[in-house]
Amino acid sequence: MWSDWNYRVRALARRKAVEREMDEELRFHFERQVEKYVAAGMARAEAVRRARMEFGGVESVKEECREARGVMFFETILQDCRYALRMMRRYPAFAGMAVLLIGLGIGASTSMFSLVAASVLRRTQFSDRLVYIWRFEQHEGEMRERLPQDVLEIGDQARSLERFAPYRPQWLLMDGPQGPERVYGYSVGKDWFRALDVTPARGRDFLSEEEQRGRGDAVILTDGLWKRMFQADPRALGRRITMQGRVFTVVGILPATFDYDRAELFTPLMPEEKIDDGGILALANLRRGVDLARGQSEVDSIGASLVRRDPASWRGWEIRLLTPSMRLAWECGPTCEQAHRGIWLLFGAVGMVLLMACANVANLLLARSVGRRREFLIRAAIGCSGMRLVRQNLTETLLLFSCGGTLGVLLAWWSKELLTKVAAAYIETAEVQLDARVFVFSAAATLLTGLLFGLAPAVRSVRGLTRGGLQEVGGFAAVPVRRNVIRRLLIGAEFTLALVLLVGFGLLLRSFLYVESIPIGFQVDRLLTKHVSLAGPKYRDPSERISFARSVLERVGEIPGIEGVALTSDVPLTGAGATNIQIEGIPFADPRGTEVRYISVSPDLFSTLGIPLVEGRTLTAHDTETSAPVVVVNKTMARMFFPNGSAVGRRIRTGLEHVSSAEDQSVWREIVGVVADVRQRNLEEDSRPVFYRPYLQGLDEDLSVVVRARSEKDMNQVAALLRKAVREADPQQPWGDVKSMRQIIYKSESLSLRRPVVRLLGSFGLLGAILAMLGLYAVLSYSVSERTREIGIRMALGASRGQVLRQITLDTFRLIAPGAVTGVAAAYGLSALLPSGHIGWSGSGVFLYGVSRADAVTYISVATALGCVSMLAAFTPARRAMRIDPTAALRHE
Amino acid sequence: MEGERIDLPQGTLDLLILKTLALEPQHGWAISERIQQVSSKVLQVQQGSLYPALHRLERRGWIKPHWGVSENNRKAKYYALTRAGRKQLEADADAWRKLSLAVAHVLDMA
Repeated sequence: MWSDWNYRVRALARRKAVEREMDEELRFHFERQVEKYVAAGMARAEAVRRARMEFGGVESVKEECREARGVMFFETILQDCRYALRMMRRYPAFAGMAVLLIGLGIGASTSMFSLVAASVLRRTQFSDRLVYIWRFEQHEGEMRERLPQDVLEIGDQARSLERFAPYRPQWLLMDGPQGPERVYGYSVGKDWFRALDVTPARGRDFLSEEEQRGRGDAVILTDGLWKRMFQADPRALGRRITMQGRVFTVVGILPATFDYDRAELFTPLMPEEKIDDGGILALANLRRGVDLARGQSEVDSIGASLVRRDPASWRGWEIRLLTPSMRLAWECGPTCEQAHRGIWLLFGAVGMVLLMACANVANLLLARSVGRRREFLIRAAIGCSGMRLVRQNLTETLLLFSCGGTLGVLLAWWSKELLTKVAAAYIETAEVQLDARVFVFSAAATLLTGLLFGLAPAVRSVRGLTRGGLQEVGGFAAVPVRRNVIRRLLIGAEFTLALVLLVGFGLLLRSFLYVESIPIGFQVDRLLTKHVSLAGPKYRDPSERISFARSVLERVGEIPGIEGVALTSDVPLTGAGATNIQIEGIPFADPRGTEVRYISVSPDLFSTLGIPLVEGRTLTAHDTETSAPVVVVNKTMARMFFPNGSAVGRRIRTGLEHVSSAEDQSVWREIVGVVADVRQRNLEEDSRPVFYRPYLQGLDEDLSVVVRARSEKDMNQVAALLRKAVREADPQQPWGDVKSMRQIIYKSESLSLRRPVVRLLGSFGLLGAILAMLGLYAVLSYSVSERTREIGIRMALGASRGQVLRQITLDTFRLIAPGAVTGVAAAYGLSALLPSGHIGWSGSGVFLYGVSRADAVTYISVATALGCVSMLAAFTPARRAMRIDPTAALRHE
Repeated sequence: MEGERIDLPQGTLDLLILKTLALEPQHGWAISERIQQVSSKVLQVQQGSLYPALHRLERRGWIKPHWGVSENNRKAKYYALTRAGRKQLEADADAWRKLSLAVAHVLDMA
């Protein structure tokens, strides 16, 4: 079999030589035969005649030899391709238009597919034996990444695991070239990189002695940080960098492709970090030949022994091994799911654009096949088979599509940067790449659309060739009526798709505008926020955090030109920490349904933001470390937990975990007031129960200063002074992170997840509308030119221009009406795919909000707009029809 | 003479070519001459089928061509049997003998 193909291919490659050899071989035979007859006593002329007669048609022998060599298939393709290229050169406008249309369609869908590949179909880049060790909380049915330090025993005991590596995430303040900079990284066990199957591109991995205290602090940087810090200087190895007062030596630089949760810097995990009560993360490799199930069962038995030994901290937990793909699936929370949904939506939309582009190409092909009918008739008459003509037609179409596909990939390549930028704002992904999957996709899409849209015109172009025969060639070809049916169907389909795209865009745009207009619960103008980090050893002690916060508040308060200043652990629209609560007097049984959010604030927050008080009092300067613990709750919390009476005066206690220090959990806090709801997480969220505690009575690692400037024009100056004040309080605080509330709203999930979808869908809708109009224009102009004689006759018989115009308008209407009807129905049906209604605490983006999917405004405006533009597209052909000179038209061929 | 010619059944020509080449490498004309001669002019090979057959056998790797000098001192394309071709010849010849024997048996029944 192999040698067979080998032969065919060689025969094809050496085509000229093989042909020459065949000629020679046959000539030799012929001459040898002549010689034979001459030798037998025949006259030479007679011998030649005889031999020639015996020989038969030389060409047909040759053809059969070619057939026997098995190269006919390729030869025909080559021949057809050459012919197709000639046709393309002869009709450059047609070819250019078709290639451009296909290129646009394929390019857009390739781009979108590369986005799909980079997000939804994301693949892990690490070792295929990598497993993450997580715990599963049976009670809440949740997977958690953090483990108690007992998990280290699993590393020691499990035989099915190797290269067990504990690690911890950390934010480090690094002395960068532009002052202190907050850098995200991990402190990792010595086998961590080996378990991932990653080796540094420069320098070395960590050594095992570097895990020991005092053996020098080594650090490995990502390629990105290396470029930023050291401008990609190879001498960076061995250089020292200072982080939080400690000096580290750069020992390695990771490859540019490395990406682990966007961490930039890695240090060895110190022994005391392993037993830090914050918990630990771990990953490992399955030993060679061990599958996940076996590893899991061994880990289960170790877990069971841990429960026996320490039931208090292990009850209700299971240790789970997760492969990277399982981890991706678990980690894709509601936000990520919404983002993926948005990507699929856009992918679907781009598919429609591709179909429309192809429909237009099919339209062009049909129109041209009418023009080429004469050519086909002649070819059929001289014996070209129908199959052969179809094949040649199809080859031509596929060649057009291949050119278009190539153009499309080039377009996708060109727009890669832009797409990466769009994607970065939207989804957690390293980079949009045109990898093998993307190429396979675009090749498959090109081929498939080519066959799909090329076949019908190809088959149609040869139909009826034998029946009509050559009679048609002389006169004017009567165009089969049914050809128009296909074109009408194509226009209808295009119109439908354009309507679906535009209605989808309209619905999401209206949702976006509605969400943008949602009142946030306070005055947003002139507000500035600055994030302050209380991470790091310096602030391990809660009293340190509080005294630092106090000094920040004092310094910022002195800035001229401000109206108010306050501290809050969580700025509105950025979320907040969660905890379970217990209400005094009600037995605590089930943690479900008792989850609330909590925020640490300075008393002035309510007046600074302008959050109205509903009942009781707000916090005051008298609520301090030493006074009675108090909280203020929001309206939703008061309504949820105290539906039948006032919340004020009741006492609550925070639940089992989440709140940092142990004494926090046991303290009863009195509710002293109720304030109005504020959008804490999303603009379109259901309001969640939130309580505010005085920052003096508890503060976690994150803090923001909120300042309201007295006037808009002071804002820049206030921002600069705000930075300065925070830096004066602690020189190690990072420089950046001043945002206005308007920026926060602009960048909030509610709007930032919707914005790219709305924008892209809008552009696809526009593109779709243009394509539909092009198709419509083509069909109308064609039908006018086709009916020139008819129009001429009518006008000669006294029809007025108005009547002709009316006719064209009616035609246009007839063309688009079915498409409009099906389009409205399809848009309504497909809009059911857009999730609607309320969403939870997190997750936003691609769904209807504040707009019904039967929103009349959207449907009517889209249909009207498309209708008007259609009339515009019909205008030129109509004008041409009205100008027809009856005498010329009657002579029209 | 004309009346005694037989049309070759499908596949038989291949067998005859292989057999002819089993003796020595030959060019196309000599092959057709030889078949004609050996079969006492009963079997006449048409060029129209000989050359396609040669090209087909070459594609299958049973014969291998080379250019040589013919008996009348001219450049000619010679074909030689390959190892695979020899095997094929044995198998085909065997099958052919069995077939012709069986057919003869059936015909001689009466």
